[in-house]
Amino acid sequence: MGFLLRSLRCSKPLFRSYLSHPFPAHFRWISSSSALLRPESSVALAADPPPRTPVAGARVHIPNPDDAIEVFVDGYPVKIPKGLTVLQACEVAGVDIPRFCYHSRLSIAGNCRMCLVEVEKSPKPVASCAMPALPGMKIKTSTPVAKKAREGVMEFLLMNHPLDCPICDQGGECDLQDQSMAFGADRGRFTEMKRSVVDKNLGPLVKTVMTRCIQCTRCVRFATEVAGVQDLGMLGRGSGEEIGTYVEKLMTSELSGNVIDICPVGALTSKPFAFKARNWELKGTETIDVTDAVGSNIRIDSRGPEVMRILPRLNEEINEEWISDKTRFCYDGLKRQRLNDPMIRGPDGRFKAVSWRDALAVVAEVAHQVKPEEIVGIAGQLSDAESMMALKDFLNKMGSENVSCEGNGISPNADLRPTYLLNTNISGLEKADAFLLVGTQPRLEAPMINARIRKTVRATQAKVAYIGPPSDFNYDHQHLGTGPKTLLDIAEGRHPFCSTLLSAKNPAIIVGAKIFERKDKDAIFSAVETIAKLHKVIRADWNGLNVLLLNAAQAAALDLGLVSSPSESIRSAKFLYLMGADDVNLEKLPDDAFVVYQGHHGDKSVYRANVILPSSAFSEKEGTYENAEGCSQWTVPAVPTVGDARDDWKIIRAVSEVAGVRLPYDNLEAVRARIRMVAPNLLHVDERESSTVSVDMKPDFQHQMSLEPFEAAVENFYMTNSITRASKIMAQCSSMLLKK
Amino acid sequence: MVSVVRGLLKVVNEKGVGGFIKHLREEGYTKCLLDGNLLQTKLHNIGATLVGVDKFGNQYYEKLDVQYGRHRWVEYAEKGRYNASQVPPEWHGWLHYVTDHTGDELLMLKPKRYGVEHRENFSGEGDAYIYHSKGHALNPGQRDWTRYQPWQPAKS
Repeated sequence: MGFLLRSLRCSKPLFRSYLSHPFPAHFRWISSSSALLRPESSVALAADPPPRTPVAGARVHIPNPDDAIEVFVDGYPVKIPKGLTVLQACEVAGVDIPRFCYHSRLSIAGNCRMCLVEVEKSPKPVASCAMPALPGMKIKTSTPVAKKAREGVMEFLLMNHPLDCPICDQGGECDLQDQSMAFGADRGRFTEMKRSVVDKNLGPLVKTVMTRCIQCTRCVRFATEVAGVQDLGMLGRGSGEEIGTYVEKLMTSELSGNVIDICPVGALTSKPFAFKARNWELKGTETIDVTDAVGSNIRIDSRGPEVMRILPRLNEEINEEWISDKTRFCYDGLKRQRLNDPMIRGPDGRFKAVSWRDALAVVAEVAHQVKPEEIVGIAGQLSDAESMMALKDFLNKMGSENVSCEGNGISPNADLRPTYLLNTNISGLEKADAFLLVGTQPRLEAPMINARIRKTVRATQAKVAYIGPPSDFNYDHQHLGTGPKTLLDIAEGRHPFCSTLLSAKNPAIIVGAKIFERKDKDAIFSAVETIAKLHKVIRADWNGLNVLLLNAAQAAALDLGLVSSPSESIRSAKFLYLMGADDVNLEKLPDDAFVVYQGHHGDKSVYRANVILPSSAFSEKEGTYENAEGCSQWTVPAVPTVGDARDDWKIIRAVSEVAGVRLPYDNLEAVRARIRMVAPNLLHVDERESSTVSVDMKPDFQHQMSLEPFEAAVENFYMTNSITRASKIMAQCSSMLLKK
Repeated sequence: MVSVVRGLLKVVNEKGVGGFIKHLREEGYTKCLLDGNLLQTKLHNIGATLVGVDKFGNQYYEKLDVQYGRHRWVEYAEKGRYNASQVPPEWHGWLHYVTDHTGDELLMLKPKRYGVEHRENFSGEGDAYIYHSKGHALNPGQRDWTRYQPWQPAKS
């Protein structure tokens, strides 16, 4: 009893508190906050949101302070230059407006109506992507009117959109999916039948499910504006509106894969990637592309040991946000025809898989049996700078100077760096107003550079003149001639195009790398330099004399000094070390020559090899590549190596050790330290080293110029290297699109 | 008992003494001395009806005047190492009182296209079925995780 009394006494304060307050503080009622109960005070709260940062780091550059105007986005003042649209002003203010048809690199269509916002003193919601921002405009993006307008537009868009997200390849990265979650209504009211549209055949790369199309016309605008083909268009009106090719026709553009990226829904998807993987199972690796000399920035999406797809990465300086079809769809070549074991050709002429130890021993033994000057090394067009450095060091230690890179022609001149680079830079080409293309077909050799030229031509009506074999251009151009004769005419000022060049403010001359292979290349280059001098192409503020290289390895090879002539040294070679060189002509090679092929694909040269050393492809290794404008970039391994393959420089390092001339580097950092001694610019990643010496320092050549016309550098755009030649998709493309 | 002795004498008359001993050995009577289970089955068989014999030679007996639930049994063809998995599926139902249709009647229900021959369980006999996961090296259908196609030198 006493215990009970004591416990009651102890709990007394608690009881007392219960009794004294009818609604004690620790009772909480399930209701909205007190602020919400009083509407007028909630408005006051909402008027003070935290300041926002611009969408995706959007920056505005206001060149002239007088042109700046001030608009108010959700009550916040923003300073923007004149001419920006309401949508862009909102982006600067940090408000992301939903959109489907608007794309910053395409013209404005304003037909999806998703970007409706409320503007004060305007009777209706306005489409922000098409409305120019005016001074003092008060834009409201999250008012009930704007929200209701978005919900309504979304409901209309979803009316005729199939609900097949579970089987749609865009699922997970679909703009419509995301925006209907963020801005759509929470229920549908649609009970009628949906319309359906017949699928179109756009070729082997782009798969169409046209029922999913929401008629944003991004693909049509991309095709006409960026790709420069008039293949896609809008047919019909109203509910019968369809995107399609006007006549039954394939989309013949080297940039057609980009419509997959810009399509906000799953109407245009990748045909080779169809139903292969979901985007959330993929591992993205940000690396660069090596199929041409542009070095486009790409993201390799892989699942396990397999490259599933390749997507572009934004780089305003190089590829903006597009990549060519060859870059995008060459990935299945990485899975076919791979060399995975070291092999030795036996006396019966058949290859036998052996261990690395045996293969290296054979290579080292033969290398010591021949005379040093009979050792020749040729780097392939996909070699990275590290492996070329190792190859050159190895052969030099063996006593040979015959190291070259395929595609660089007869005794390349690497003394002056500007003589083999795109000195204007890719983004700098936009400032040019007259182009002279000498023996180069940029549409086939470097589609991204061609897209820049087309962009310039479209924006500024720049004049383009072309000397070379008949070729296909997707912009207005003058075909001046096919050979050096026209070049001479211009150099001597007789040609009518000279006046265009003279009147141009920023003339640009682009010389193709195929000219490197001509015997009279020095004469042609001196003619080009004469033209450059005559028309003030090289000034202090403008360097318009460009060379457009063909392969990813070329620039780095010239920087590192792989400058012998393969065509001459091959004739006397007894020991030929091919590092992925497949386009080199082996007909003149003596029959008793010992050929070591180090590479990742069983391509042309493998059939002549005596020993095969498997190496890793660009998607599997870390390597430095220098692109045509002299900007070095790194690849990053996305997938593991194949079979018993090893990195290129490691193989050469191992060969050198077995041969008794051990190279002094054991890891990548040490190789790069060695590169720093030879060509430090290769280590300045993502930087462009401007030239300090001018081309004037080059000695004059007075050789006779032969008048045979220029040759095309690329016969088949889709098959230029060992990876693309192994690819089935590229084979389909070349048979269907090029009819080869 | 008389009928049993008469039956025995009949067999001796037909086959002679040598043949009778051979018959005893074949029918497993010699094993009965060591295998009580078999002996018990043999004793049960006296007076029971032979309902059917399956394709392996197992004999199925029924005797309706014994306790319900013990009135059907099998005498295995294999007298040494017999086990329950030697009963083929068509007789299983009859033997376990699932159905009154005998195995011979149920044989027509056996699927023609995908039905496989019955195999007894060989576990512990050296021919056991061991499950290997799909990635196991001993699984004949081991999945190939190689995601690339090697170059074949034989083509040259």
